[in-house]
Amino acid sequence: MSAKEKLSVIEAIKTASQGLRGTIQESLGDQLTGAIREDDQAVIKFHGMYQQDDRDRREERAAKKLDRLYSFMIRLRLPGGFVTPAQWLATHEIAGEHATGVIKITSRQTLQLHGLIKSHIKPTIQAFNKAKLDSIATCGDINRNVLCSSHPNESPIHAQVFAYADKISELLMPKTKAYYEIWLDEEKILDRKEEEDPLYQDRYLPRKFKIAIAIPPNNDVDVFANDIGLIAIIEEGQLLGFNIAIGGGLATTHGNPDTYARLGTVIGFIAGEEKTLKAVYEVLTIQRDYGNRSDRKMSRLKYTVDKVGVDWFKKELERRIGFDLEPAKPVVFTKRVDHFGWQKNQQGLWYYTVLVENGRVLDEEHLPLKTAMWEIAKSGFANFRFTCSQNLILSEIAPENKEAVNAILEKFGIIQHTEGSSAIRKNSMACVALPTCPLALAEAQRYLPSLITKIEPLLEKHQLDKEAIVIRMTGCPNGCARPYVAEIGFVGTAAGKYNLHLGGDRQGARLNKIYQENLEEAAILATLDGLFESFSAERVLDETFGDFAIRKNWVTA
Amino acid sequence: MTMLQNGKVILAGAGCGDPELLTLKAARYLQQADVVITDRLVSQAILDSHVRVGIPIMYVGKQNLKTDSTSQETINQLILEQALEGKLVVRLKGGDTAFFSNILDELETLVQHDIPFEIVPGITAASGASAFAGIPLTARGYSTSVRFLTNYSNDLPAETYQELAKTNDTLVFYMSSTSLDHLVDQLLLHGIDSNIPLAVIEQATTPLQRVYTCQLGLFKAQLSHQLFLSPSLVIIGKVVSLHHRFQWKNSEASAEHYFKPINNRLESPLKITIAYGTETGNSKKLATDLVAIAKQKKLLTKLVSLDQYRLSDLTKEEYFVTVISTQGEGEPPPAAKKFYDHIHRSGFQLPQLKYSVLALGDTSYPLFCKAGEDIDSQFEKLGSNRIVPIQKCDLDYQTEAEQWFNKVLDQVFLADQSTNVVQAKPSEAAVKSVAKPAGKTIYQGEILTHFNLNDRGSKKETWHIEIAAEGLTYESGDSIGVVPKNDPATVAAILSVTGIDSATEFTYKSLPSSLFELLDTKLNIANLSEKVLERIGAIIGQDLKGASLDLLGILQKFSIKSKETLEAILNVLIAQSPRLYTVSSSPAAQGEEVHITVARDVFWIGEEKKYGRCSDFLSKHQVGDQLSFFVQKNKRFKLPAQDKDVIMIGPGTGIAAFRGFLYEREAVGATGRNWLFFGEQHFASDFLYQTEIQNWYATGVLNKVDLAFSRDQREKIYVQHRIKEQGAELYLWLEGGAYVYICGKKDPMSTDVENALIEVIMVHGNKTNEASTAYFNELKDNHRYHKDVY
Repeated sequence: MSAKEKLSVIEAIKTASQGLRGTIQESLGDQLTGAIREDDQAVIKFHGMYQQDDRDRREERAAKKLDRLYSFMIRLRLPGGFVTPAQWLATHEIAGEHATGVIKITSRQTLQLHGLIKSHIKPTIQAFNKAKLDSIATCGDINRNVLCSSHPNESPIHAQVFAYADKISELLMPKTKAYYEIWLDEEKILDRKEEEDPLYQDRYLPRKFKIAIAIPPNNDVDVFANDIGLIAIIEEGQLLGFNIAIGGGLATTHGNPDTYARLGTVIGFIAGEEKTLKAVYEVLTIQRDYGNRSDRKMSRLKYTVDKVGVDWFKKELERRIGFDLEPAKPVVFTKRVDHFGWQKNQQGLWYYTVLVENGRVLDEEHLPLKTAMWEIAKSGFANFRFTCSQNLILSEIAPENKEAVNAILEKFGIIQHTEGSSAIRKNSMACVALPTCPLALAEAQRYLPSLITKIEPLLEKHQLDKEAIVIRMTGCPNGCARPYVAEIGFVGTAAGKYNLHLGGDRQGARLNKIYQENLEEAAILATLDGLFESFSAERVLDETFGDFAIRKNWVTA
Repeated sequence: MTMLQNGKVILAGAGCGDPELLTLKAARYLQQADVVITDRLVSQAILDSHVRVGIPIMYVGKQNLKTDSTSQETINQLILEQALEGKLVVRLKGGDTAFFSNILDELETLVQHDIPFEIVPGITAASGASAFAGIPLTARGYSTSVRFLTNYSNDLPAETYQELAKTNDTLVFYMSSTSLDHLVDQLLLHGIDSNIPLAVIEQATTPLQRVYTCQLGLFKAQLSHQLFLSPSLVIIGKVVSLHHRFQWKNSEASAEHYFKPINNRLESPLKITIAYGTETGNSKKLATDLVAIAKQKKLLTKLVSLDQYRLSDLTKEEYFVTVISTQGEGEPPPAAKKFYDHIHRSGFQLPQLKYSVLALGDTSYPLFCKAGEDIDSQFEKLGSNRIVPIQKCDLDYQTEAEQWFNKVLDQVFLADQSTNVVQAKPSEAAVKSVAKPAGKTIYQGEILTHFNLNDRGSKKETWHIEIAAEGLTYESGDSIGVVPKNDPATVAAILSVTGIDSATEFTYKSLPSSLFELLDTKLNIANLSEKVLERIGAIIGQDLKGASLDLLGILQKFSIKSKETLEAILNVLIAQSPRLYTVSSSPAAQGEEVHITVARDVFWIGEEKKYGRCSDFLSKHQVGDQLSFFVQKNKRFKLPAQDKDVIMIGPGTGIAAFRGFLYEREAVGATGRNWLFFGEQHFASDFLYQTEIQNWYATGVLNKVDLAFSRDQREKIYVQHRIKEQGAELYLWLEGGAYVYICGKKDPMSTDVENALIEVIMVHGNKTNEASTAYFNELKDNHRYHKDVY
């Protein structure tokens, strides 16, 4: 075997993990450290957790003869992003008792908690389990949380499409019982044959795997940024099936020219549930068998697709599923938005979309969002849904309860915040980054809100304040907040420095490109000021900022 | 210097002890030698009287076969290097050159490199010991042959024992006294006549020679408990019975060693510091592995992360190994940044330092191992001595690193031995330092380090304070006494309120003092008790019952300005008493420094938050401040012998004593096991000395650690719960003779812990309550149970 083909270290850890058990039990028993053993740090991801440490605190703690402040992030599995009011209350309690108290809505429609110390993991998972919530396979080299257009008002048959998210999630769950054994003290499996896994075998996928379902014309899920994108084809109120797109993915690595962001390629149309699930399943088996397992920077499905070619991939898929894909149906995305404020659906139920800046639900002095959500959950009048832009939809509110919910929103200033925020603030998104994310090179969610505050006057100055320009920021090139499909993307390169990307479209169907590199705040603001001036003066009617950037050749499409 | 073209090597036996047993030939060569390379088992008198002054003498001895100090390969190399410099090298070996020695390796090296040599025989132990014990080895009528053997590793095959059991030959065993039980057992098992006598001759031919004899059948009863001093020789056979008739030299009943351990190692052990700078943890892991290697070779080690390294200690280090990784842009990991910057500052030199650097990196980055290289070259600029060249390692570093480290250690041993012997002093018995008289010395200390061990968000405040004081002597387990000073602002305010000059002489309890002295240190002027308030009230004709006033408050409120009234008031105040703090250091590790661990006491009087006076006083100090203190001996809280197991139970600031103990056990290389129980409120913020405890555990100083953090879960967990959980093993340790120590809060901790211990003894020793209490009391009576509670 040549050095190039040598399996990555993580591969050996997966295969040796005894069905994702590793030595997690032993790691939990290591009293002297808040960390778990090195190999287990890879294994525990499959259980929905990351080990992190507070990088801001390393030096100070070392001086106090204290080890790094290790803690864990736990991410729930919420296909399509839905919880009941009881589940929201449980999450609220758990966040307070075991984590930092902040409930984070992620860009993949789920909830995560930060800052669990090792001894709190088990009580947390057990409490979630009581609320019928789990964190299985929400991280790691496996199918992650499945996305679906979040607003039930997108279509009269939203519920029918939404159900697919659950079905796909169930279909692609690992078969191992390790999660139940380790965290919920269920009986040990004696015969590992019972949990044999024909899909993942003992090696799982080469890398993470993401699936999203979109209901046109709204591309709120960023369907082309996923390994598999399913685009619902609806005619006259009937779900005909899905166009299937493969090989989307945004992560890149600074200084590695072999890595690139890629939008999914639509390879055809599939009708019916059975066939759709089969096709999804077999895309995973092809990736399992052909994905790169030696270089983790080159192992997402997008590289596999480009390596074997789209045509070959499609043929292999058809061979594995035993039927041919139909030609893709024509379909258009015209927007990528969350419907902030009150909306009513056909059945007369009410929905309120709350702006949650960077998805962080917490009580701030002037905006006690967490308490407001707690009160609404207590009332039992609304379900909770989460959007891919990290916002929250209070949903299925009966007409007779609308006033009560509205009163709570008013009381805590939520309506004022949601509806009074600028268009760009509503359309912005940032990842977690510092201090907990080990990959972060620069700030993101702690910094973007203040940067937006400085961008707002520039837009006003050029009479652009109604423009819903999509701005996204990440602290590293891995792209968790999908900055590569924003009209203005900021990708952190070092402390206080960002690459400025331009030219993405508003619907998320075109990638942006680097316009300038390593800009500090002053340079960012000066650059944007000039660009906005030109945009305001020279745009044609209704032209978006992203499209204008291409027309002006600031970057090439 | 006698310059020969290729040098020459004399392999000479020095005889087995008595310096007069040296051959004339060997003596002549020693007088001519340009360099002497010698074993440990060579009489110092030979070197003193035959080697010319100023000639380097290198000790390459092997203490015993398990822990060879210098590898044979290094010895070969050393002989070769010296010879190639054209020197006359005398390689001196204890006894003869050939019996049970590694002469073959050395000869092969010499032949391979064409180095001329001679072999000069010496009196081997079998000859020397038998002669000096009056045991003719082949006495007519007793034995016709003699065999020289060794059984040091107990691995003779059964057939050999069988054959030895039957023979009439005299058997002489070298290097076998520690495995003698096994040898005798095997011979008896294979049918040797149990009436055959055996002799063990300790330190043969030296003034300390001692002879033990008994019949094989009685060995178990009479001698198997005996620990024989090295070197000792065993003779088995009928000839031994001749000893009683022909012994001509008295047996010495002394436990002293004739051959001193190399460099008096036991009195002043060789220490090496291994410091790591890590980002991902690889350097730390590796440094921990290196510590294990050093420990196997009986070196004392200090493992420390560079971000916790006290930079001022660099001037005190001798052997210093740095293990450091390099970041993407060639810079050191953040945890090593302070250290890196410190040594790159100009204005100081580190000529005493002997260092080596192990650099970790990734060859796919252009600035491979840059941080390590920088440190390596910077130490050179600071005038330090490089032990061996820097080793740069790529991602698979383990093997390379270990080989490199073995080289470092070999050089450390050699350097240590040669430097020490050239300036040789006569080997004298360890000089015991004379204990100071009982009167309390007041030390003037300087605070070197001062910080709060608890992290942000903790409800506790525990100050770690390091104090240096010249001439300081104490032992771990002792306490220091500190008299708190009153708040200077309060003192100044009192002086200004009363308008009385601070130098005015006052009488307190019939002794004269200046007003300032009384207010500054002698009297308690804060937190006045009810009784004191009542008495002051009587003096000034006011009802002060329940008033929450301190002295200043009273003087202000009733504007007291008369000296007489003030004097009367001062005389009802309570004198300040010293507070005692158990030391958290060991002089073996910290020298003339003492560390204390002080919890800042918080209590409430009504709604008002108050701090304990002395802990508050100490918590407000800064690095560089002066502090006077005295040492309070605690004879009842001392570590047992080094080979005993120790169980330490010290929640909260109780950890202080045990940090001192662990430093002590580490510094002296104690062989007994150590088990620590510690508890506090929260793991994340209150794990006092976490990284030190982790390092002790990783390097095997601590064998077991059990922790109880009371507030990290709904139900409270304390050390006594952990003691009960660990009951089975704890009982085994007790049965094995372990010593138990408790330090910390008297109530309720120590009571709860004692109850838990009694329960453990009851449950796991299968005893009644009474029997268990009796067992516990016996521990106390046997001084195996010690408390330092407050």
